[in-house]
Amino acid sequence: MPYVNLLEDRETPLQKPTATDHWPEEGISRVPYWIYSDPANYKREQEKVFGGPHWNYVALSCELPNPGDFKRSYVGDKPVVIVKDENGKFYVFENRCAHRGVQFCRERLGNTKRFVCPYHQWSYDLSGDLIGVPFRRGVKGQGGMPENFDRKAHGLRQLSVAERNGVLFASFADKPSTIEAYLGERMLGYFNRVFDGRELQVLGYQRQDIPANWKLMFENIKDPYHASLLHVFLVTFGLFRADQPSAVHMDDYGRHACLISSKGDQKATTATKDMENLKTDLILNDDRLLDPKREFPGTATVVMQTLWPNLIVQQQSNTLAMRHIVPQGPNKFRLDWTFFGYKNDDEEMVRRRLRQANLMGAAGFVSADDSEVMKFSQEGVVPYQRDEGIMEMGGLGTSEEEHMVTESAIRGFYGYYRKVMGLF
Amino acid sequence: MSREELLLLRIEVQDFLDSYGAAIDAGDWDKFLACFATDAEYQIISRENFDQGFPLATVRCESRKMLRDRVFGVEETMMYEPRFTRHIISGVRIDPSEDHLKAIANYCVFETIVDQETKILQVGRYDANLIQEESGFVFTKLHCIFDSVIVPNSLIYPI
Repeated sequence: MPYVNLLEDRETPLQKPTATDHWPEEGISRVPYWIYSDPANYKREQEKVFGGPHWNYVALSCELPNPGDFKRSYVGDKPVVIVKDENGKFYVFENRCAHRGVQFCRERLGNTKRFVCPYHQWSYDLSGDLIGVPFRRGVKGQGGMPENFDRKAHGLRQLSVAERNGVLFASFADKPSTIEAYLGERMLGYFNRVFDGRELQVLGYQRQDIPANWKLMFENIKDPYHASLLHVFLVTFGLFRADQPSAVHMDDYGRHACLISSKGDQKATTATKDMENLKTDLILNDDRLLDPKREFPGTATVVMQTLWPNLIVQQQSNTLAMRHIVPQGPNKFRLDWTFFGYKNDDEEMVRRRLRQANLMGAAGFVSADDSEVMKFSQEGVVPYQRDEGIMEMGGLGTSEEEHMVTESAIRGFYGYYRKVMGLF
Repeated sequence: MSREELLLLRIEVQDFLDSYGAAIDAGDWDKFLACFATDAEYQIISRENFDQGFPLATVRCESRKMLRDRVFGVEETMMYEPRFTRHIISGVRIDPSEDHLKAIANYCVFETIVDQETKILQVGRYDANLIQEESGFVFTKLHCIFDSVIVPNSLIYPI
């Protein structure tokens, strides 16, 4: 049979992007559509964005209260396991046996003394070190691993771990900066607003598979322009609206951002004439659905924080959630929601959080608009790899703004994205 | 209760659940709302949360009025792709007690979105309490506990 170098033939087209790989001349006021579906670009994102020197959200530490507790999670599209060892130290390692690559941990949450891969029973301790290889010395003097096989060199691949007030992050980088330096002073302030050291309590999970590129989710929460228009529920009840005191704040790099707003009244103003969807006569039949109670310092009633590259911290009135973005190929991502409160919440506050959760998640009065529109976006851009979107609302720059009629945080995001991805 | 009475009651409950599902599939929201008592509790909750004792539901209504608000959202405020559902309800089991009737049933809800093939939206079980009103049965509790955990994109209509 003639020798055919199939491997070489297959690798060649993967090396170069399948669509034009340049960024439009106008810069960050444009976003080229090929970045939403190009397979080579997606692979590069896994390496540079999620695998790069950044902190990825993986879990809340209250999900692992006891020694031996573990949780399955993801960094980018890579499955990982978070474990608390006997001394209370957190480890994050790849969910991939060092032997043949089997994804060994199949439970979402659990407790164990060690991890055993079901295939050939290689076993690992809670820090991910290889502790057992069956038949390592052979059977009846036959077979076995070579004499020089070094168990220490074949543990599970470790990630760096950081914890900040109950939130766990992991990084594939060996020596990333501290989580505090990574967030930067401005973003750390907003982070500390919700994660102030109080013990957290998980209220439950929601999971959605959204048929869109992961960046559309990140953009969505950096885009206050749409919120006043798409989300009838938000504008009608004054939860987030262009004519209310609002701001868009960012870190020094433009990678993290916050959309900040304060609840206003349900009334028409000169600014609302462009909001065709505003319904001033709408009242709730059961107003317990929206019964916000002030619980954070300052005047803001909503702070939506995007933390590069995979986390949205949601504080809308009293509903708090981590939205963890898990890419699943260029055209799909999973959104893993962890709704939480504080351990010392009274019963009334827990109920309030659970009721307000009706606004969020897969069936959310607000969020379902987004999961629907992201699908429309993906379907809109995929056939047009060589075209581009326009983002000139609020100018062309990336400055912080004290209003929400701007796309500056999306421009900031793409400014940083281009640097990380080397796209010029 | 005699064997015949139990059998008849189970068929009546099956009829009620079928007409409940049909009301959703037809988008007949008045009929849907009429299936609930005024203080009814309605939840769509993942089995993941339910089994672990996490209280968070994907949809939580604590009264018929709150259900009316949900319907209003579906009809007036939410933006979504046109779609319809189809309910298949089976395996009805009943447990009559003094003050209410407990009913459990399996459901499979298919979803059809414009220009796409029909897919399974959700599979799970109903856990319901019913009482008899003049018009017939109404739910005082309906929990839709779904197995699949992952919602394919969005959940718009009640289950």
